[in-house]
Order: sequence, then structure tokens, then C-alpha cells
Amino acid sequence: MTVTQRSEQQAARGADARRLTSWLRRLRQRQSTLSTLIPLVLLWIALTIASPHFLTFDNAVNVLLNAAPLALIAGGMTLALIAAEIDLSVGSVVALVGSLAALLSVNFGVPWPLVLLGALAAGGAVGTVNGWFTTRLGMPSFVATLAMLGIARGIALLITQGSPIYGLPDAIAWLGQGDIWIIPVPILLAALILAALHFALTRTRFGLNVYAVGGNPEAARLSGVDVAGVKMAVLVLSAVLASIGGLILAARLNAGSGTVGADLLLDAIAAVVIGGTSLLGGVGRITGTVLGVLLIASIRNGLVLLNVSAFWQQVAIGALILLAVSVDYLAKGRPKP
Amino acid sequence: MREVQVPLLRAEGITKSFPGVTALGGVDFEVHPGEIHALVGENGAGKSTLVKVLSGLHQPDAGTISVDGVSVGFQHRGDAERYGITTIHQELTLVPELDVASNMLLARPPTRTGWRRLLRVVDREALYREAAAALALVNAEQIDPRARAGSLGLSAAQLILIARGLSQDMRVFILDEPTAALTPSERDELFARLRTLRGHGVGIVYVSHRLDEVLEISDRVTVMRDGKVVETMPTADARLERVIELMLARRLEEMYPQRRARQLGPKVLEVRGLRRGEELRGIDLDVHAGEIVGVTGLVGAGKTEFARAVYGADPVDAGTVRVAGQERTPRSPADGIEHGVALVPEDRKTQGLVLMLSVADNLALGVANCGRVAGTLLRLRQVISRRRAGELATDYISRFKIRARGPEQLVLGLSGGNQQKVVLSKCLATKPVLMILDEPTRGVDVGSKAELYRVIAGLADDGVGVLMLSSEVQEVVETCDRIYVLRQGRVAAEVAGPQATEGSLMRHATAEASS
Repeated sequence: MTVTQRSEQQAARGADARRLTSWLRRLRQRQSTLSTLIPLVLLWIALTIASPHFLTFDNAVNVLLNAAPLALIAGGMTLALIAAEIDLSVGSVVALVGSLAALLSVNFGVPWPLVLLGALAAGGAVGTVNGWFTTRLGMPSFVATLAMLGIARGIALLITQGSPIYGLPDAIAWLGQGDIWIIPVPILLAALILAALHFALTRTRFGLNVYAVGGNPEAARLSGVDVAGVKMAVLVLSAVLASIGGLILAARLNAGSGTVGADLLLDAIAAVVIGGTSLLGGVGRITGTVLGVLLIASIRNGLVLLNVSAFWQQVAIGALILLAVSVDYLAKGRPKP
Repeated sequence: MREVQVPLLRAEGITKSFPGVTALGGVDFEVHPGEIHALVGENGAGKSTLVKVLSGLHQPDAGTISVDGVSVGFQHRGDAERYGITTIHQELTLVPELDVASNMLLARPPTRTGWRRLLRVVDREALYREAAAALALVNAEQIDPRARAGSLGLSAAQLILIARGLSQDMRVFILDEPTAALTPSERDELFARLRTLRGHGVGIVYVSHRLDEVLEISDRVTVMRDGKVVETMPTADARLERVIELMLARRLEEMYPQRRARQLGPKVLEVRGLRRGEELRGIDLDVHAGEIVGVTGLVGAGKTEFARAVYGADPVDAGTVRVAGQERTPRSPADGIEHGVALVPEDRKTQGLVLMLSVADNLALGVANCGRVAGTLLRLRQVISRRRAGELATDYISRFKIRARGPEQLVLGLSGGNQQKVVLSKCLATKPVLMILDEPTRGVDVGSKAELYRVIAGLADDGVGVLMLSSEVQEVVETCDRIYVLRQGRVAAEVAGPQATEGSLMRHATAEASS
């Protein structure tokens, strides 16, 4: 056997081995996503049996419509948590951006493209402030965004004087109520953005740096990663995604309100955690988050269909968090004392 | 009659595995009252793991531990301490923000009497009184019980831990590499105290890889290798060469690659007057292409600080760094990487690797963030080619014989030696002109060590300038072409590799301020 033949054979074997390992990796990933997928499917089966209205096209669209703003916010939260940061201000940003959009278009008659730009810029500004305190002052993002949670909510209430501003222009209302072909715009928007986030996390240098910064900031820095820049980026992204969620929500209500969105924060954290992202940073996936969002939205929807009190929804979601996260910890084995 | 005595502490058949390695495979070990029993072995032989099992930090997978002949199970540290087993680990275990007295009596602080006893109100006066009394036991009256623990030096911290042990009716005293950071005179003081303790009937386990010290202080020596006990013998019968042979199970010439004269290229690193606070006080140093330059010295001499400053990880106060002939004092690691400098940091787990990422992702992290070579991996400067990342990892895995299941294995599950090879691969993948290695073989098993030396020699053969910082004098002597000895932030000596001996380097490193 000549040398070239042998090296060709080795190369072929190497390629086989690579294909095998990448297949194994995909299988393993799918398996850990399974811990969220299985309860979701079981829930759907149970709800289909319990209510004739659950498994209908209209209701499915309804579930997804309700899930869209949460999905966007949870997507941003996933990035923040993987980078070992957190953004507590998202619920308030939703209210702030919606109120601002309504104020600008209704009270000041600003044309809609400028309203959209202004709304997104406001969200971006909130994220930049969060990022500034976190990266420049070294303040924990928990504290910085907790402060912003109050500030943004307060400004939203000040803008609206406590009562909703109704009557958004059609172009903005289309964001929440329009369809492209038969797919509602919010669902399309959320799906596209989450797909982009998934691609960014799994296939780009930025995504790799997010994992590295969350998993081991010192190793990331010594590898040449701009750690502060990455943290700034995830906090700005989180706020901008919350702004888009806020615009969709305002568009669906056809009003800007200073009181909406408070429950979105905890739902988003719940969805991300149920989806297998670690609060300690360095670990997490967008696919898991999507399943987590669907789980929460399905429970909400199902319990409404079954005429169960809204109070039970909170109990159910809390129990779900314990269950989903327990499965992850059991799979990992008991931690060392 | 030591033979008929029941050992104070005995371990039998201790087995302990971690993901990827068997750290201990059926170890027997015992210590008698009034005995100093030394435990020696190379890095990775299992000494520290055994210590952690004996002190209750790790639970063994199999085997028994008995105290006074009675089998016991340690669930955590406190259990071992209740039996009078006190341990000083390599990493000292003081709470830096508390004062000395609180640290000493943390577990059982004296409480006030009466109703305040129910609330466990600490009697601060008694606390300081008892702490001072315990410190007096080790002749350390100069330590103020009210001083913040974090403000004290290493040898004072050791004294505090010894005093703490004594205040808790210590019967077995375990020291893991206690002299690593001590000056010779501090070491002599420690030895005097250990002999006093032995006189009081305390059983002492002394873990070290400094054989001269071991032969000086101990009564018996146990040699470990690859997680097993090779032999236990009275120190009186132990000869240095014999112990080394047992430890290494291979001769030195098999351990280190053959020294050969290399073709030196132009200077790749030229450091002049590098200063940083008290740590670096004006260092001049050169490295040529194709040369392995060693830097050694005691802990605190400034080795790691120097490596980090040249790389750009820490800012400097003054001095110039020229890389490949160009004035390039790096201001950040990204700068250093861009200029062609790579660093294998001191601690691979906290600085070198992201443990929750795969081998391929760790390599990709290094390459993608190095502008010079990022193009080989990235499209549009952002999108990572998974195929090329996989190929890169597969390439290094076979080149360095990294024992990983494949490119997608998490580095968390690799053994220390293999993790170190991943760090090395990650650095090499950025195609550096200067490779800085900070303690490259720390915590690496003997087999991987020999492989690492060969890889490093290969680097120099390929024309990379290598700067190796190590406190293991032997490896510096055996592998380096030229050696700098640092002392208190200054270059104390520059020696050609073939002329260097361990003794001469240690003298330069430890020479106390005689002038």
C-alpha cells in the first residue's frame, strides 16, 4: 500500500469518525431538548382530550400570537443568561416603548416610521444604560436592571398619566394585527428573530464569545474576547428585543399602556430556565427557550379553555419550573455538598 | 514499640475516580502518634486527592478510613476535624475578610453565659483571649488576633492554621506542600514547630515533592505514583536517588527530550525595564526565535506577573516590550494576540479554557478572536465554519495525542494533561511567534508531562520563541536553552541552560538580602 493510499484511507476514516461524532452530538442535544419537548407534547395531548377547542387551527394561532412577545423577550433573556448576566427591566421596557409609541403618534402626530425608529431607539438607550453601569462600573446587571425596572416603568406611567393612550396608526397596528398570507405578523416576526438568534448563538463568533464570557470570563479575556463589549451587546439586544415585543403588544391592544408587561419578566425567566439555560451562565439554547415559551403559553391557553381560575395558572407555571429544572439536575447527578 | 501501636489514622484500599481519571486506585496509608510520615510523588500522582479524602473533602468510591482502629466515615471537613484531624491544604483556607481570632475559632466560637448563651452570642473577649493563647502555643505572639486574615502573609496564615488545629485538640496534622511559598528561614521555623508537635504525640502527614525537605524532616516516606502507593520505607533507609526512581519509574533522560543546539533566529521578544508596582521592578529579558528561555524563582518572585504583563493581561507602569523587532507594548490580551504572542496561563481551568465548551469550540474561540488567523475559520468575519473548526480540532487531537472522544467532547471531562494540551493547541492555532508558558506542567501526570516537553521542544524546532515560566527548577534545567532567575521582581541571574544546575538556580532564587 502506498503512502498516499494510506493517507487517503485515513482521511476517509477521519471523515467517517467526524460524521459519527457530529451525529452523536446532535442526538445528545436533541435528548436534552427532549426533557422539555416530552412534557410539552404530553400537555398538548392532555389538553386535546380535555377540550375540543384546543387542537383547532384558530386556537393554535391564538396560542402562538400570545406567545410572540414573550418569545422575543425570552430570546433576549437567553442571551443575557448565557453571558452570565440578567435583564430585569424587560417588562418595564415593554410598557415604556408601547407608551412612547402611542404618545408620539397620538398626541404629537409623528409619522409612523419615525415612531418605530424612536421606540426602538428608546429601547436601545435603556439597554445601553444597563450595559454602561454593568460594564463600566462593574455593577451586577441584577442591580442595574432592577433599578431600570423601576425607572422605565415609572416613565411609562408618567407618559400615559396612568391610563392607556388609544388609537395607533394602521401601519403600527399592522405589527400586531396584520397577516402575511395566513400567518399573523407577530408570529412571523418572532419566528424570524428567534431563528436569527439561534443562528447567531450556534454559528457565529459573537455566539461563541457569549458562551465563553458566561462560562469563563477570564479565559475569554485572555483569548482576546472583548468581554465588556459582549456584555454590552447582550444587554442592548435584550432591551431592543423587549422593545419589539412592546410594539407588538401595543399594536395588538391598539393602545400604549403604562401597566402592561409586568408579568412578562418572570414568564421570560421561567421559559428560559425551563428550556435548560443555566442561571450561572455558559450554558443554554434558543431551541430550549422556544419550547419553554410554548409550554407556558399552552398552559395559560389550556387553563382558560378549561375555565380554570387564573390563579391556578400561576401555581401550574411555578410547579412546571420546579419539575423541568429538577429533571435537569437529576440528570446531572446530585451536586457535591 | 511502634509496631504494636494502633495507628492514629489508617486508610485502606482507598479508590477515587473523577471523570476521565482514576486519581486513587486502592491506596493504603497510615500514620502513628508521634510520627512524621512523608507522602511524596510527582504532580498528579494522587497525593492531594488522598489528602482530601483523609480530611473529608472528598468521599472515596471504595475503601475505609479508621481512627484509633475504629472505622469512620467522613461526610465533610467538619467530621474529620471532630476526630482531631487538621489539614492545611495547598490553597489556604482562611476567610480573608474575618480577623485572625474569628478564623481560628470559626467552628466553635466561645459564647456568652446566661440567656445570651441560648442566642449563641459570641463572647468577643474570650474569643481574642483564646486565640492569643493558641497563638502562644506556636510561639507566634507577634500575630495580632484582631488583624484581618487577608492582610497577613502566607507563613503567618500557616501559623494561624496550626494554632487553630492545636486549639481543637489536634491529633493528626496534614500539611499539603506547606513550604511551596516559604523562604528558607520561615521553612526552618515551620520544621522546628513540627518537631515540637511530634514530641507531643501528634501524627503528622507531610506532603511534598521537595525531596531534600522530606528526607530532613520525616520518619517514614511513602512514595505514590499514578494513584497507587509504590513503597513505604523508613526515612533512615531512603536514599534520594532511590526515591526519585520510585517516583518517576523512568529515568530522567527518558522524561526530557534530548538537549540539542538549536539554530537561533532573530529576537522575537525584547523586554527592557519592565515595571509594575512592587511585583516587577525593572526586568530586561530577550527571547530568540527557536529558543526555549526559562524563567524560574520562588512564588512571589514575579514570574506570573511578568508573563501577564508581556501578554497584555495586566497593565504595566514602565518599560518597553518589542515583539519581532517592533515596539509593541500590549495593552490588552487582544493586542498581544494580534502581535503574535500566545499565553498558556498558569491555571488552565480558570484562565485557559471554557470548561463547558467542546474541544473544537475552545480552539475556535482562540482562532476566531485572533485577527491574523480568523480568516481561516470565519466567513464574513462572523460566521464560523463548523467543518473547519472540526478539522482544526481533529488535527490537534491526533497531533498531540489528546485523549478525547472527538472534537465535540466537552473539555470538562478531560484529564489535566489533556486539558493542558487543548490550551496549548488553542494557542498554537493562532500561529504565534512567541509562546509564553506559565507553569505548563502543573497538575499534569508524568506521562503527559513527558509528552508536553516534547511538544515544547518541537515548537522551538519550528522556529517559535518559547518563554517558559516554572517553579519546578528541574524541568527548567532540563529543557531550557537559557534561564533567567527572578527574585523579588528583579532578574537575579541569567544562566546558559547546559551550565545550569538545580542547586545553583535555587541559590540565586533564594539568596536572602545578604548585601
